[in-house]
Amino acid sequence: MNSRRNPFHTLYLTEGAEEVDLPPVFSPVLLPHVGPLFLPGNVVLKGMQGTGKSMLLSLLETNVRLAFWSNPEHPYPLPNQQCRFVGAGINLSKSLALKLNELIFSKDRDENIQRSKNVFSDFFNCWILRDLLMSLRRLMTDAQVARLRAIGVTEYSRKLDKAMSLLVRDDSCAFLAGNSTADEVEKALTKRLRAHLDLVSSLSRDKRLPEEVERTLTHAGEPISAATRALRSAKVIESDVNVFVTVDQFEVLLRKKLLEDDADDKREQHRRFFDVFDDLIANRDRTVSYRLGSRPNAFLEKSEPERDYRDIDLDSILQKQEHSKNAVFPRFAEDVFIRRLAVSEYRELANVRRPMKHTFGSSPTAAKRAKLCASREHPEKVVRFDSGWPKDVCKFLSDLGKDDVLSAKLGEVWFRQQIANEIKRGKKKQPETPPFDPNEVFERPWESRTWWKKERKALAVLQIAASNQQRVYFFGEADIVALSGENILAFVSICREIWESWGLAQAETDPSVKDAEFPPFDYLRQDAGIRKASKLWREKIAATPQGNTLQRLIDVIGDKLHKQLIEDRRMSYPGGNGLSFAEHDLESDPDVKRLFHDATAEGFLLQRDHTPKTLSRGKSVKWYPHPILAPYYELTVPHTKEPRYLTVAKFREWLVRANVLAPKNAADEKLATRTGNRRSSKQESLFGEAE
Amino acid sequence: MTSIRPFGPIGWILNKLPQIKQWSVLGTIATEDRCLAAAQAVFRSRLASDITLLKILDPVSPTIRFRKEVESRLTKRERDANAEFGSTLSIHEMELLCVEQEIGDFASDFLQRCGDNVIVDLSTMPKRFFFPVLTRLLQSSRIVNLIATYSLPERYAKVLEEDPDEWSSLPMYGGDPLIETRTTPASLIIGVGYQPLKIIEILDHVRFDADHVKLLFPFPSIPPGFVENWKFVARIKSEWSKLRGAELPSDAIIRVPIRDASIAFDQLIAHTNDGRASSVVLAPFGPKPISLAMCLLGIARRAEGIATEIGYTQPHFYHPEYSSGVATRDGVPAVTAYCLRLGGRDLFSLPPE
Repeated sequence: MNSRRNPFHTLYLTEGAEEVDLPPVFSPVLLPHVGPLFLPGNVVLKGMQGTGKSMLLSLLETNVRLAFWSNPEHPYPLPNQQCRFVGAGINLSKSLALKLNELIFSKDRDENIQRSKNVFSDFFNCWILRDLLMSLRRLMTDAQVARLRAIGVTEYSRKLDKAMSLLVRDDSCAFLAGNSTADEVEKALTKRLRAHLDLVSSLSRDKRLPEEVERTLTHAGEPISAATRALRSAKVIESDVNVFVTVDQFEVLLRKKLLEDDADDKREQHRRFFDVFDDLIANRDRTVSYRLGSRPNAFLEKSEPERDYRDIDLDSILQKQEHSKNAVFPRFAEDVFIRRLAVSEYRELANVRRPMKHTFGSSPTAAKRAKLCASREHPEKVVRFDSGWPKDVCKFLSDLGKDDVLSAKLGEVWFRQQIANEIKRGKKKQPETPPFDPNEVFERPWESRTWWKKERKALAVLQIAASNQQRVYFFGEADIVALSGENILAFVSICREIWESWGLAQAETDPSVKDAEFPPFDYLRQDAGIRKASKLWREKIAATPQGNTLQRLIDVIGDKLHKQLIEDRRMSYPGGNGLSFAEHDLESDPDVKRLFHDATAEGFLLQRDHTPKTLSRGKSVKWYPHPILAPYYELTVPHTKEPRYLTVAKFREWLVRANVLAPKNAADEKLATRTGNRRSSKQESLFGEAE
Repeated sequence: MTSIRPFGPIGWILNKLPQIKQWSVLGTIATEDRCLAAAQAVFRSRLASDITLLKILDPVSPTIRFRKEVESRLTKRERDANAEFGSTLSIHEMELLCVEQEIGDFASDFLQRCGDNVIVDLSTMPKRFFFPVLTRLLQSSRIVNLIATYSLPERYAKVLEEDPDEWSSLPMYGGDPLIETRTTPASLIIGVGYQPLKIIEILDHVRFDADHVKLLFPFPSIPPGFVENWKFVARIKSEWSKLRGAELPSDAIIRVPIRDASIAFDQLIAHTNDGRASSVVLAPFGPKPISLAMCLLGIARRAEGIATEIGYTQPHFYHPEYSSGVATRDGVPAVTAYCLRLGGRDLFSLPPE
């Protein structure tokens, strides 16, 4: 039995913490694409869940830098000139900063909002100052002097005391007056933070901030800028050393603020703190550089990209460009793969040429995949004929199916299209067009129509599998990369499940036989692992914010697309594994738009701009279920050709019927009643008893 | 030394306290049949001086299902309550996801109005309400006797709640974010329930090692409820191994009687260094009596100046048929009463150092 540990067992590298030794597994592939993250200036780092945002931002953390510095085999992955910074940060949830919006400071709405913004700003300032101070002290204690000099930080703690004595004299830091050493300032900051936290914890309207705190509340960012100036002035950091402030969990604030916007919530419970950051970024103070992690389709409102901040969109960076030989994601995936293996008990696999190809082998051609999905004895049975088709055509395609089931299926489709065209021509009365000759089929004209064939291969395989009550097999390097859909978390999940599936099979049979077969992994084990990863990704939907609703949304989309793909016998819509909406149409229904954006942010849908066939439709957007979901919903993977066009009104109908959206009006209620899906709260009991 | 902490059928407990003639009752108007059972038991014993019911409304959202169903059930319950309790009744409407201070303010107002003897019915009261309410009541020295009650339903629905939010601390229980968690591992104790709402968030959120993770497993569970409980455990074990790449130790599972808040409290004390561990994270996903024990540990630690993080993934929506019916025992509704404070003495406190 295999006792070696799965190299992909731990999915997450940066969450959950110190258990993971980050330096050996950190992949630097994305670094050249995110240069501004390590340069002065504010940055908003956007990307759906699983694109590697946390991993990149972790490079700014002092603990992570120290971990790299203490690891001689894995040097810090940034060039020296990009290392001249000190990092500080706040996690808005864990610090309880977001809890400050659970307090009521005044019965007057506007005053309440303003007061809570003031308190939040002060909390934020104190937290960052304290963290900055702790980072510097940790660097001075734990880093070698040469390292410190290279990044432009002094090793002398007296200089830090000097900086603090300058800081406490700054107008923006009047609350620190009377303290003169770093130790005293840190204690004063802790005490002040405790005063804020006591408010949160007591939840009492009689509880107030101490008068001296109330009187000296600070504006967001001002004390942090003052501290940076003082640190430079006292030569704790050299003049070119940047202070980077990372705001973690900004996405939570953003998501809740967007929910509020849609609900027209006048309390602005989350918008008020969003505004604090928006103002901070827009104020053009260049002393400190802020880093905010964000989700796709979310924007700051007062600040402008390029002028106030650099926008780094990880999704666009990772998106595969057609015909690009140097696409980022496959390189990223391969690098992650090698690094995980190199620190595992499978390190021998990391040292071969093209380790992924070596481990997973090649993916099958469409013809081979089709053959695997068809019946072994009678593959031709999946070719379907309509009554009235010439017998010799049926026989030809049937015979062809015995040797090449994919070609036979495409022949069937080609024949269907010719008949449909003939009918269309007849209706339009176009006698000048020569009639269709069924005997053309014997020349197999579809084989020479390269693009026509290429666009329909995946759908043909899907239909062949469905006709034979099989599922499409996925395996091999190319399939794994395609199914990962530019999402490194999806990639790692697939690898992990393949390893698990193989381990399970190995445990059940003779280990010596299986070991001899590996690598590459047996294709059935790979397929089973991929299918499990797909199922788990679908289950993961329910574990995200608004998860049950999003799961129903993705179920509706997945099921509808599957049905349409299978029923499209003429394969008129080979790109029908996605949906396209006109942008103006989408704007008319904020509920639908928000659901799409939420699902995209969480990595369950992929969003792409779409240029529609007809100009009158206007600018459009298309969405595809994330490719890792393709095995679960039985969809095609490639995003070729035109997606399904849909109106938002029609889509809303789907959602109302499937209990994703509540009926908005009488028409919606009627719809639910008419379709026999009238919502009922009656449900099975927890233990399956009939009620 | 462990105190004697009486609990049992509400009628039996009230009979044992004959000197107390008047109780203030706080409960909820909910969609579930059991929501009025405790208040009815006190009222019908002619011991209720005043009854306050919280009518908790779902958030307004286009994705909230069964809105009409919920509204009509709440209206019916409100009518029933008015008809039965008459002038002793006052009803307060609050939103499920209201800002936390509104709950704190409600608790303060209630404290000003109520008598010295209070019964809080937890049966259908969401955790984000009953945690701060019990805390505020036990913080007040004016309250002489405090009892919590819990009514059993006949059955639970398959889907209890939907759309859980991110892991977030319950009101008043945010822990101490200024503690250096890198050097102080947290003790994580999870109450095992039926639906592991976003459990991965909890495992992600706090820093702890395998020896400091415990699962309070309700035992014996009501057959066949244990199947769902074990699924919950399996899910945690699986998420743990995904995150940590190692198995959760088998001794992480601690069996506690499903309705015995006292034993659950003692177990919590035992696994948190006599309740004084510096960093404790509690996840009350299990039965209400076990969640009650977690709340009481938080309150006891608070009284000693030790912060506790008690978190939850608050659902946006509770199913209107979360449960149905009211279970009966010997022909009377099965309402269990837990004495929390008697004669001014707190029964759930940390053992002396």
